[in-house]
Amino acid sequence: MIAGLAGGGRGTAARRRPLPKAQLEKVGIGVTGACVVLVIVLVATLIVMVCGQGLATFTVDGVDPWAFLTGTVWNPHASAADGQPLMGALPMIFGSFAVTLLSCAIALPVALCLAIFMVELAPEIGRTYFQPVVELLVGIPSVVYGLVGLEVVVTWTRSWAGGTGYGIFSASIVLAVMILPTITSLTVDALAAVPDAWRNGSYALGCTKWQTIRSVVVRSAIPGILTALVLGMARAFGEALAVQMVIGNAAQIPASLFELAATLTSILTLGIGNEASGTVYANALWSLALVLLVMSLAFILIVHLIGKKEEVTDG
Amino acid sequence: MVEVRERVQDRPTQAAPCDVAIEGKPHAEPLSKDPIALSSKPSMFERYGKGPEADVPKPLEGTPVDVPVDFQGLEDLARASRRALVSDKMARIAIEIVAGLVVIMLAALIAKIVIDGWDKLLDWNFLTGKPEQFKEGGGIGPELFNSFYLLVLTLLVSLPLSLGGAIFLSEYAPANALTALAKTAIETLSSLPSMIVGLFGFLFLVLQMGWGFSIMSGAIALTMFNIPILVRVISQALEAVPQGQRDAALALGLTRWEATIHVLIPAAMPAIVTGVVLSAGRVFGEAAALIYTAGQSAPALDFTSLDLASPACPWNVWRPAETLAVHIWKINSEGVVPDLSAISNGTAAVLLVCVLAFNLLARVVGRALERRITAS
Amino acid sequence: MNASSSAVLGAPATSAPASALLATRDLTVSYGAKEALHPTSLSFRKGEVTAFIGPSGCGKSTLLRCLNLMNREVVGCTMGGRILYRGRDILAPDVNVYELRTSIGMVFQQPTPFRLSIAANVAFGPRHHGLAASREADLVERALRRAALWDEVKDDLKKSALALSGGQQQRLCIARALAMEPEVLLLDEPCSALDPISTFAIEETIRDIAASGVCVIIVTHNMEQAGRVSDRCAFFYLGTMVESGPTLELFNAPRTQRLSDYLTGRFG
Repeated sequence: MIAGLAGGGRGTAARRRPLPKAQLEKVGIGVTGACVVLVIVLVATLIVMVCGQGLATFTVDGVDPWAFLTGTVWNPHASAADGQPLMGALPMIFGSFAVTLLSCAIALPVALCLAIFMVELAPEIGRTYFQPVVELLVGIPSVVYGLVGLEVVVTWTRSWAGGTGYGIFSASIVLAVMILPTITSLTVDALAAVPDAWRNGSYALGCTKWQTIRSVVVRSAIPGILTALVLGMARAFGEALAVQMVIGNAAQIPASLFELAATLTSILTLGIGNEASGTVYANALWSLALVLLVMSLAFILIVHLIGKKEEVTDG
Repeated sequence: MVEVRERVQDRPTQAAPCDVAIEGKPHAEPLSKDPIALSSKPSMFERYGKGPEADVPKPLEGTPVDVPVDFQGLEDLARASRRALVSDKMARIAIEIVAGLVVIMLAALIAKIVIDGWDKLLDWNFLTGKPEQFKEGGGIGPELFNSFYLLVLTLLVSLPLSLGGAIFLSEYAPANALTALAKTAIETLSSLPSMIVGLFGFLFLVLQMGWGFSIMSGAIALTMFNIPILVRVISQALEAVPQGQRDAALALGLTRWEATIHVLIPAAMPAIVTGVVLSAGRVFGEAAALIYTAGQSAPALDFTSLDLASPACPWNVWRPAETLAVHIWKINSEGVVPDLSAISNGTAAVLLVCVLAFNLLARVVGRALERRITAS
Repeated sequence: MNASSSAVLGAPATSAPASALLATRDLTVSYGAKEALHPTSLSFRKGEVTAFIGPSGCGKSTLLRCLNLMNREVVGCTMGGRILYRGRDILAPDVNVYELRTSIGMVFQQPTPFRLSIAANVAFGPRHHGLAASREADLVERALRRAALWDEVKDDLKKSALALSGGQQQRLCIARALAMEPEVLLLDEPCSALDPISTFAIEETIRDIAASGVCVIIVTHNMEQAGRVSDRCAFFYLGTMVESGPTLELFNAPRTQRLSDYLTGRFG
C-alpha cells in the first residue's frame, strides 16, 4: 500500500512477505467462518430432516395430528375401525413428562442443598472435593447409570412395591441421579454470582446465615436456578438408554408409578432400527422423534426467555 | 424457619418487606418506639439519638421517652431472634446431611461398579477376547478397541471444526446474522438429546449417504454431539486470556488470525487441553448417538490385516463397530447371553475406569502445561 | 535528566518543521451514538514527547488508540475527521493497518508480555513481519539496549518473560515495540501499574527514545510525570481538547480556568 509508510528511517530488517497481512486475515475469517457455516448447515439439516420424516405421518399417511397427540392406543401395525392406524402417542408423551417432572422434583432440592453447601457453608471443601465429584458424576456414561438402575433401583423397588419393579418410579430415581450434577453445577454458578456485598448487607442487619441464604442469596439467584432446572429437565426429557433400561417399555398410560410405562425415547430406541423406512410404523416413530425435537427446542426457548427477562429486570 | 415467617406475617402492623424478622420494623411509627432493642441491649435511639451520657447502657424500663414501650413487640422479636438462631442451626445440619448423603451415594455407586466388575477388570481374556452371543465367557476386545478408535476419529474431525468455530465466535464475531445464527445453532445442538443426534445420523449418514452402520457414521454423529461441548470449552479458554495480550499482538501489526494462532491459543492451551480431555470422557461413554450409526455388532478384528476394505481390519472405517457403552445396553436389552450380569458389570467397570482416567488425565496434563508455560 | 530533556526540547519547539510527522484534523470518535472525543486537531513531531493529561474518562486514551487505529478493533467505534501520517490520511479505507502499526508502536497500561522467552518476545513483531532469523539476535540486543533492559537480562534471554518484575516487563514491552523500529511510539499510562523506581527508569527510557528521533506520545494522569517527561502537553476534559502547548508554558501559565483548576487539584 502506501510506499511512504514503509520508507524513511526504517528497513533495519530484511523483509520477505509470504502473504500480505490483509490477505492472511481474510484466510483466517474464511477458514473459521467455514467451520461455523458447516455447523449451521449440519444443525439446519438435522432439524429439516427430522421434521420432514416426522411430518410424513400426517402428510403421507393422513393421520390427524390431534388424534396422534391425544390417542391412548399405540399399535401402528393395526388399524382402527375407521381404517386409521392406531397411533396414539399420549402414553409416551405422558411417560416422558412424568419421569421428567418427578426426577426434577427429586433432584432439585438435593441439588439446591448441595449447591448451598458448596458455595455458602463450606466453599473450601466445595471447591477441592465436591467440584471434582460433580464433574465426575457428569462424566459417568448413561448406560452405566441404566445398568446400576437395573440392578439396584429396580430390585429395590420390586422388593417393597411389588410388581416388576420397572416403571416411572424407578426411571425417575435413575434420572434424578443423572441430572443432579447438571442442576447442581449450574446452581452453584448462579449462587456464586450473587455479589458478596449483598450477603454482608444482610449480615449487617443481624440476619443469620440461613436467613441470608434463604432471603438474599437464593432469592436473587432464582433466574439462574430456574435455568439450571430447565436444562436439567431438557436432559431428563431427552435421556434415552438409561430410562429405556428401567421403565419397562409398555406403551400404556400406567395406573401407578410402579407399572410398566414408556417414554418417547424408550420406544424410539427400541423401534427405529427394526422398521424398514417408509412404512407406517417407521413414520409414526419419526413423529415421536419430532415431538422430542420440538420439546427440546421448547426447553431452549424457555432458557432464552428466562435470560431475557433477567436482562430486562437488571437494566 | 417457617415459624418465623408466620410470626412476622401475624403482626398486623408489620409492613414486612422481607421475611426476616429484624428488618420488619414498622416504618410509619416514630423511632422511639422502634423495637430494635433486644432484651438488655440499649436501643438504637439510646445509643445514637442522645448526647454522650447515653453511652452508658440503661435498663429499658428507665428509657426517658414519653411513648409507651411496646413490650409485646419486644418479646415477639426476642423470640423470633432465638428461633432464627435455632433454625439457622437446623438448616445447616440438614444441608450438611444431604451433602454427606450425596457423597456417600456417589462413593457407593463407584464402589459397586468397580467391585462388581473387579474380576473381569483384571481378566486379560475378558479385555481382549471376542464377544459371545449365546455362550458364556465372551470378551470385549473389539468393543474396547472400537471405543478408542471412534474417540480418536471423532476428535480428529470435531477438534479442528470446534477450534475454527470457537475462534470465529470469540475473536472475530462480526456483528451480523452469521454470528447470531452460529450462536443459536451451537446452543441448539448442545441441548438436543443425543438420541436425536443419533436418529439424524441414522437418517442422513446411514440411509441417505449410504454409509451403513459404520465407524464413519458413528464418528460424524459423535462429532455433532461433541462440537457444542468443545466450542464452549475453547471459547471460554480464549476469553479467559487477558485482553491486553490481544491488544499487544494487534498493536505490533499482526492480524487477528496471527494473534490467535501465535499468542492466544498458546496462552489458552492448558485450559483447552483440560476441556478436550474431559469431553473425550463424555464421548467415550456415549451410546444413544451410536446405536443407530456405528451399529450394534462388533465383527472380530484381525490386527494383522491391513486390507482397509475387509470388515476384520481394525482400521477400516466402513465396518460396523459396537462400543463398550453400546455393548452394555445391547446385551441387557437382548438378554440372551447366559453370563449377562458378569459381562455387563465388567464392561461397566472398564468404562468407568476409562472415564476416571480421562478425568485424572485432564487435570494432570492441564496442570503440567500450566506449570511449563509459566515457569522460567 | 532535566539537562538532556531541555536540550531536546529546545530544538523542535523553536524550529518546528513545516509539516508534522503525525497530526489529527477535527478527529472525532464515537462509541455507538455517543461522541467520546469532540473534534480535535493536534500535531506531533519527531524527537518530541507529547503528553495527554486530564481526569479519567476525558478521552485521552481514546485519542491515543486512534493514532494506530486500535479503535478499529472495537465494535461500535467510529472515527471522523482525518489523521495525517506523513501527510496521508490513515483513516482512508485503503490504508493497510497492519503495516501502519509497524511504524506506530504502542505500549499499554498493564505490561503485556507474551508467554514466551524474553528474546522471543522482543523478536515477536519482526518475526511475523518477515525478519530473517540470522538478524534476530542483533535486533533483540539493539531493542533491549534502547529500552535500557539489556544489562539486566542479557544472560537470561531464553528465560520466560513472565519471570521478570513488573517494571522489567513494561520495559520489555517497550523493547518489543522498538524492535519494529517505529517512528511513533504510543504509551498508554505505561507507569500506572509500577512502583516509583521502575517509573523513574521508564521515564528516563522515554526521554532517550525521543532523543533518538522517535515521536513519543504518552497518556498519563500524573501531572508530575507529564512535567518531567514531556515537551508538549494537551489537556483534555470530558472529551474535549481544552488546551495544548509547550509543557512549561501550560503548567506555569494555564490559559483556561479548567486547566488551572486541574493543576491546583480542584478536580481530577
